[in-house]
Amino acid sequence: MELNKKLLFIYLILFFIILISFSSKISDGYLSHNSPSYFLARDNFWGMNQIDEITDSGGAKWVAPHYNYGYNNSYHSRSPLNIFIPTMVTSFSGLESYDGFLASQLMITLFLIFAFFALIWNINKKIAYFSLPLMLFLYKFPFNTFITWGCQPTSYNLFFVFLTTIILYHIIKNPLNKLIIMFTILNAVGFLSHGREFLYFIFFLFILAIYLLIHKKIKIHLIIKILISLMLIVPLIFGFIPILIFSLLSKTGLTSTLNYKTVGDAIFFSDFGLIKYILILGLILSLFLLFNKKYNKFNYLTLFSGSLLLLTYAIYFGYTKGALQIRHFWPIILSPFLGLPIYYIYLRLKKYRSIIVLTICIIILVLICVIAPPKEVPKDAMMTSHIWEGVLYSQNQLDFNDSILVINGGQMRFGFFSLNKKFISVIDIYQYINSNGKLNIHQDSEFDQLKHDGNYIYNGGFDWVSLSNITIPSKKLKDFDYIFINMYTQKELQKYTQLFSQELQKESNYTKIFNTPHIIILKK
Amino acid sequence: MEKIKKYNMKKDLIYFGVFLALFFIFLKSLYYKESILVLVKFFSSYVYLYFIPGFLIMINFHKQLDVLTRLVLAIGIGFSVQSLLVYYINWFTEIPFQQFYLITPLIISLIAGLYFYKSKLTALFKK
Repeated sequence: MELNKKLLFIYLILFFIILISFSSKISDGYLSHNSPSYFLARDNFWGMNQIDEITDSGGAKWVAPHYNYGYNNSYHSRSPLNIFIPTMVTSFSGLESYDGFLASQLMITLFLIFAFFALIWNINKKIAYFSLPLMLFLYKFPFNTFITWGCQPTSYNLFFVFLTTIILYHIIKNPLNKLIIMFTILNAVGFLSHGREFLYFIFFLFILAIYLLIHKKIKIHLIIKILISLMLIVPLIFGFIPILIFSLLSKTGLTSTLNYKTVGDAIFFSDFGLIKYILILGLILSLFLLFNKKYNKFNYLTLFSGSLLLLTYAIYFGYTKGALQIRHFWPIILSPFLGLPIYYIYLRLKKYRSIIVLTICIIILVLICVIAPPKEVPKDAMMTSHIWEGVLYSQNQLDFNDSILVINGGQMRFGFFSLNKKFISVIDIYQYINSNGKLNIHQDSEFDQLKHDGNYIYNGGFDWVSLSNITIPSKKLKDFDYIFINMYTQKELQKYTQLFSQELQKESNYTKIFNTPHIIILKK
Repeated sequence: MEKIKKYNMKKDLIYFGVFLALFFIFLKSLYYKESILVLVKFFSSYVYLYFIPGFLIMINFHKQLDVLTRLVLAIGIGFSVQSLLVYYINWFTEIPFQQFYLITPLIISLIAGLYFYKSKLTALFKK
């Protein structure tokens, strides 16, 4: 029996309106800004930096020399395609890289929701509708930190994983169809977007194969076909293979700068509020279906969502790095466990069941809106237009070989100053405050120069050198050409940055050449 | 699966149109203060670079998948084929991507469209 069309329409419209309203918490109504906005962690700056790198070097193979200490034979070490997609959008639309990056992050959330909805839709249309309310949590804290803190590669590959899961479902249903080509392409692009989620998909495939073999729903020749298709990924990702091998061998590079533990620790099941009880009920129901002797289509979803859920708990088995990142996407991945109990209510009811369950869904939507609406995300918690002016000034006015000392502090101790495309050293001022509360920096204090993010220098053949292994001599305070003082620090640190600036101008031969409320640039 | 026997191009186009309209409404609501020109450029970048090539590739799979599934796959396939092609053209030729990335969606769309109409074209050539 079909759902009541009018009520379903109202429900979907309401969902769409709430979706827009929730996502607008990460927007001030403008697409283009004067400075990076809603960037709350370093990985987002890294992301926009990658867009600039690809734009400047014209591709994702070589890195433009001004990003790598002047080396013009250095290779990108990161998965290329997750950043190539927003780069082309940015180039086409003429947006600044930071605006293009954030906007494409917001767009991918929409596509993720659409893709997972389609996945559930293929298995059970009603459960797909009933699962929608949970997906709105994607825009709520702490889940939304994947947009503002930066889990961009994961979100892209997860999108591809959702699509391959849809295709796999159809391949199992009809092994003769040609979708296997799409399966190979999407997996390859997923791998080139971020390899980790591809490995999660393989984990799911393994569990699914065991389940289907037990239920005699899959034949060996189909497993071989899928294995061949997975092997065909290799020629499609060959451009990235040397980097992959080299980075795995050297165990350097390829590690993201995001502090996963902090992020992961901040996301728990309890973040779903009261809905967590429905989710637990859904989980129990789905496990009951899974271990039932009778085969059920829904088990495909249980295995997929379940395997990804299981991986987020791999932290307790020593796998800490990427496991917790997936928790950001719980609102999507676990949504079938909300849809399933509602579907059971639907099945149990005899009269007006369509109206009752859709009303329940609408009530859940309204409750999410009223009880737990997402909070406004601060626009300039890390970067202000004043700081950005300073960054632009140093990019445009200073020479490539000029050395810059960046004085940071507090929450601003992030490496986005690598955007300056110069030789820079970044120090956190609070590390130089001694126990007497005085600044412990003198003319002969030495500072290490900032290491770029793990790209490789290629000298032909098998001669690859990681940039992180190259020694760059440290510099004394008196040897720096410019000092970039960030005044947008935590209040208790501001007096130190001000004091430091005054001392430099008084005792050394530095002059102030740039001054905004948040940034001072001194020249020797 | 049984329902998808007779292909209805019109239905696909309507769904695609509705999807694009919703996407634009989403953009306009999210960036309501932004000038329409900037929005249209951003919207067109997704449509031209990814959605149209993806949509044309996916119509070749109308026998296997329903229209909604094809639509969502069109986004991913558009992302995949366009980015993979541009990445490797640049990788092999070292021509900056800015010089050709606007042509590749056209080529992908043309090939996908021609493949879809190949039976009709073959019949035309036989005549």
